[in-house]
Amino acid sequence: MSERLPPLPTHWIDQNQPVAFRFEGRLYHGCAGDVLSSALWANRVRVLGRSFKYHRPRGIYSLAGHDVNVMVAGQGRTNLRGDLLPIQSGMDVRAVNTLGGVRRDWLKLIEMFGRFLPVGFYYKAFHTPRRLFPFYERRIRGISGLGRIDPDAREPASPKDYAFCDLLVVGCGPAGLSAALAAAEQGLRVLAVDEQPRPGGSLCWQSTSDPQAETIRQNLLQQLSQRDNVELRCGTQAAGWYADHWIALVDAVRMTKLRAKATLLATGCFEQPAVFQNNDLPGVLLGSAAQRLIHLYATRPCKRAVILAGNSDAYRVAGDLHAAGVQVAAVADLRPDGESTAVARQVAEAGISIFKGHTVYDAIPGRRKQCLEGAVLCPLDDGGQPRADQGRRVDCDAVVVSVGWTANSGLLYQAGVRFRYDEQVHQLLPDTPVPGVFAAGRVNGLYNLQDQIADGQRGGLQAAEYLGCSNTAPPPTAEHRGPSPTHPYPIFEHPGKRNFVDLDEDLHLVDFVNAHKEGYDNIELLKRFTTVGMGPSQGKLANNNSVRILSRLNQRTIAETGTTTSRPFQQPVPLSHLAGRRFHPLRRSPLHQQHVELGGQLIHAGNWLRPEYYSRPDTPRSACILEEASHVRQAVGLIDLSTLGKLEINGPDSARFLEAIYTGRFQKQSVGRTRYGLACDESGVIIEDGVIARLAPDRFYVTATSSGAAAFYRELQRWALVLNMNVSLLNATPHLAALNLAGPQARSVLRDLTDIDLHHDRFPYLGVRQGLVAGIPATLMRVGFVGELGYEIHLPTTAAAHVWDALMQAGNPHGIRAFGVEAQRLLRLEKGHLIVGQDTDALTHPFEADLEWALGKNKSFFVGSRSLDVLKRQTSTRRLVGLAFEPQSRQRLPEECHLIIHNEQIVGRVTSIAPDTTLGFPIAMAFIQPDLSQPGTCIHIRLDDGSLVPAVVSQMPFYDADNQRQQDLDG
Amino acid sequence: MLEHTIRHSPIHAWLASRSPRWSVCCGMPVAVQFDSEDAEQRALESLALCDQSATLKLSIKGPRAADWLAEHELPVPTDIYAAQRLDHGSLLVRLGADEFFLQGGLGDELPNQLLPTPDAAAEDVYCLERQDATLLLSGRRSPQVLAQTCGLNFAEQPKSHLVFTRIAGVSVGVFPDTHAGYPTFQLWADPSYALDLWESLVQILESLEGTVVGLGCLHPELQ
Repeated sequence: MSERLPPLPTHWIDQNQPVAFRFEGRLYHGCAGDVLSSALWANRVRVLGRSFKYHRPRGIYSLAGHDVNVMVAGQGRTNLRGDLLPIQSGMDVRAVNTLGGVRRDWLKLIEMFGRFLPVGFYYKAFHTPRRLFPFYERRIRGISGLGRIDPDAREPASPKDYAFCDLLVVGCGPAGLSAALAAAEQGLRVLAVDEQPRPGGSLCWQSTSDPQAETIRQNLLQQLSQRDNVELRCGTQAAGWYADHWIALVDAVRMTKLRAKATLLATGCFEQPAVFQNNDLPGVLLGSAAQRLIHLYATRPCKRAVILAGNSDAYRVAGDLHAAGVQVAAVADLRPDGESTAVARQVAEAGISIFKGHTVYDAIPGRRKQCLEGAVLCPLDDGGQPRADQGRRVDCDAVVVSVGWTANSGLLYQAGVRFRYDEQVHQLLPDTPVPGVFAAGRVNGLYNLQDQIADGQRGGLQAAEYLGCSNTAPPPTAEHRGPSPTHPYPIFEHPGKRNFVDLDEDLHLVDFVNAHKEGYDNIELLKRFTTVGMGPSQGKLANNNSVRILSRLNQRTIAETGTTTSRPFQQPVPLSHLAGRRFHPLRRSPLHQQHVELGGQLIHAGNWLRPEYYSRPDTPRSACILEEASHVRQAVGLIDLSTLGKLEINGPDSARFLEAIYTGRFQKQSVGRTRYGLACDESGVIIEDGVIARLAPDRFYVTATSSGAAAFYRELQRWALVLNMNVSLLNATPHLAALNLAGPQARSVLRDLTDIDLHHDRFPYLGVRQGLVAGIPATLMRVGFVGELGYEIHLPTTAAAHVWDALMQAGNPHGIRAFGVEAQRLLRLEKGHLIVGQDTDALTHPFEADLEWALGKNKSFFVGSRSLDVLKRQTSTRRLVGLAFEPQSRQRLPEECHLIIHNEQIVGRVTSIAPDTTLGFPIAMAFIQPDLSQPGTCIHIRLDDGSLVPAVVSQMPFYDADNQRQQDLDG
Repeated sequence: MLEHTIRHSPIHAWLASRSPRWSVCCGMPVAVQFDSEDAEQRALESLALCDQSATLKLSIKGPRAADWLAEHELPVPTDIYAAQRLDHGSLLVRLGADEFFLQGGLGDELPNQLLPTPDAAAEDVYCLERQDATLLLSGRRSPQVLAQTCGLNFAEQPKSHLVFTRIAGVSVGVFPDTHAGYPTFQLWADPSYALDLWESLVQILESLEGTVVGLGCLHPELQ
């Protein structure tokens, strides 16, 4: 680690804590606090990654995550940015997008064919012959892209997180910290975030030559730490701004969904690259990256440097390099008059050669382009382009570029702030304010430290005033003084065509010229065609120069050219962060544990987990289901119906209300009796059915389908208001469990557990009674959904397990068995009972479903009645019928939704089918054209393989047509 | 006829899997203690989750609901969602112009006492025994659990008011309160969602070094 500088307390690394890690299989040692890029650079590793398209070697460029030169994969994760990845003991990573390792990478051969692969080549080639396109596509996809996802890798769930504050301050540099303090002093609850691991922003690495910088940073942090209304979160990026100050904050483990009342963006600037030949090679890096290496990671960036200067910052970089022991071979200043500030004079006094009006024309690659050997400096002509014939070579191992900045303005754009181009600072500055959104510091074009602090205070006060917490009028925004911090056009042509504009996408200057020639003269079109700014760094280092290039090609101004649209997210966000912890709750019956203990095979039924059937050793699923159904027919079974909707309708208008909701009549329904209820929507489509039990003159108990109960209850509430009826609705669904004890032995099982007289005369079919079951208050209804003597028992959920156990115990002598959803479906199909949603669809009306009998005669109104009047006069296009198949047939049977074919036309579809039944032959329910609905008609159903299966239209119900079994008049 | 009427919490099986010390309250087995008294008391102040589903609960609805409650000498809250603490830890919440929610304190039979028999139903007042899962999230760090499960800013909710929101994807009623100086959040949820809600909360709670506690640390009389 000979590149390390003597330790200072302001460094972010601890040189007393070595950390061993592996990169590309080799063992290295870094320091605690190092990121991967800095640790490798300190180990004199220069090739840290390969470029996206040409696989050119790449090294440190911004060291701030503003480029993606260094992307690695390891430990099941990929596309990790080396500039931001803290090293950890035992870490083992490799560069992404290589074949044979980052040093060799055989895919570098692609660059040899670069002239055949211009921008958009894939739009123009490979389309003919068309049959070969899949081949080309596979090959291109195989070698393009970055990291590969490891499908076997598993990460712990990323927590979801919500937070709230009065003011969010993004950026904890001098402006952000002073803004946070000013706002907090006015009483606001402030959350300040910074993507770097420590607060201070440029105070940590750029203003270090100012002896006051560290003192200012410490003072601001100390004052903030003394306030309990300020929270500072480092290592947290504000990744996206959404309406109403909803901001996505992303840190190492989670995404926080923050709702702020106001936002202040002190996000600073990105240092921008210059475009010259070989400006991407390892050893070409930004001035800010060199300063970060020196001041944060105690690493000497190089031995001998050439500096490409376009502003005062370049001279500060020169001073910092000189102080770090780097030999500064030359400063090539793009400006004809150079710089006359004190810092420039200091550089000159240090004996460093300054070439005014010069540029770096070419960076001269060393062996395998994996390092630099020197740079060619050329004077610039009046048009700002290099005079190639007057170049001079300067030996160096680094070209440090410091030519200007662009505002980190993505969040401001997302918040709706409009910008104007300022000719003094050559930067887009916020122009049209948005309520509650404020900017401070460099994004406002302020590069002087004192100006930034003052601007932060102004922003903080402005936010407090906006939120009504301050009467202090904020001072006006200051303006930049001195030479421009940004050169307007640091872009230089070169016939070698390796002068890169977008390092993510390997786009060089000629790519833009060619795109423009092809007519892509609008910035948004140019972006789509060239893909500039569409790489992982989202154009942080490319967009600015692409706008400059296009404006010059179009001979327009920057303002006229405009910018592309900024959308979230600002930085790559792991998909695991977006997904967060899974919250998709399932509903469980109060008898869930009983089902599990009985071997219930649970299936998803809507949100519910229900037992499909109860497994038995060495018995296949179909046999288990048939056994359960047969047992209900022959003895007694118990099923959990707790998923049913259960509603109470109370009040003097309750009967009238039910008549308005359902198609039937209820005003004359006797207390103690149940009726079938069928509900339609306004268009006459069936939406619900259930049992309506009258418990008292003004009190009804209603069941609804499991999946439709919540929506139906909301609909009832709406109709109660619309109809202005005196009813009180109670949704008892969560509070009541329901069991159906069914089968010829049901009465015998129940008799000893209840105080209700079960004799047929006192509790007849379709009766409802209230009493105790196993000591628990319950409502019992005699219904026949499965076609046998049955008691639906409704009782409090907390007591459901107790009653279930009591019934199973009492049923033991009768051979009671639990039966699941599938057995119930089979039994009801044999009985010809439809299931709303299964045997009906979004267009089914009662006339099609053979439910005309459920429509009350001469009712003046019910929901859907007017539509049904119209439908009744129309000819139906389908009818719901039963189908019977050959018994013991070995042929394959259709499945639900298979189509019925007649004369090669589709004439219907199967809605329910049961291959194995207690009847001895398969049956189904289906919609079919009315002219084919006569019992005895033979039809054919098409299977998936195209073969046709015959079936015969049958009268329903298939079982116990005269309802003797469910009425059970003998009990 | 079986002699014992046994109620069960919707998370009874989960509680049983942690082998707590049991007691019976309001006809329901309740987990009294999982760890030492001191440890549970510390957790209660720091971060803890407790099942209180044994409490009796009642919905009261109808045009005369408010008058009916007043006739039973109960202080009726005037604001919608306002909650009124009653004797013995009971809570009365107004959910609408003519709708109320009453929860008895642990062991308090008030809801059962108010529940009219079918024969003695009051005119225009309708009651329903509720079986909501009732959970208590407690401790100084309990807001951190809510921050991971709910998008609502509880700090800005009015005091002594019930809040309806979603926690861990489940619709819940939440009553923010304090107990001995630290925050508590009582949650009511559809019992069919209770196990998922409970497991989500426990998972987050344990990642924050919180724990599940028995009712004994809140109700020493159960110890």
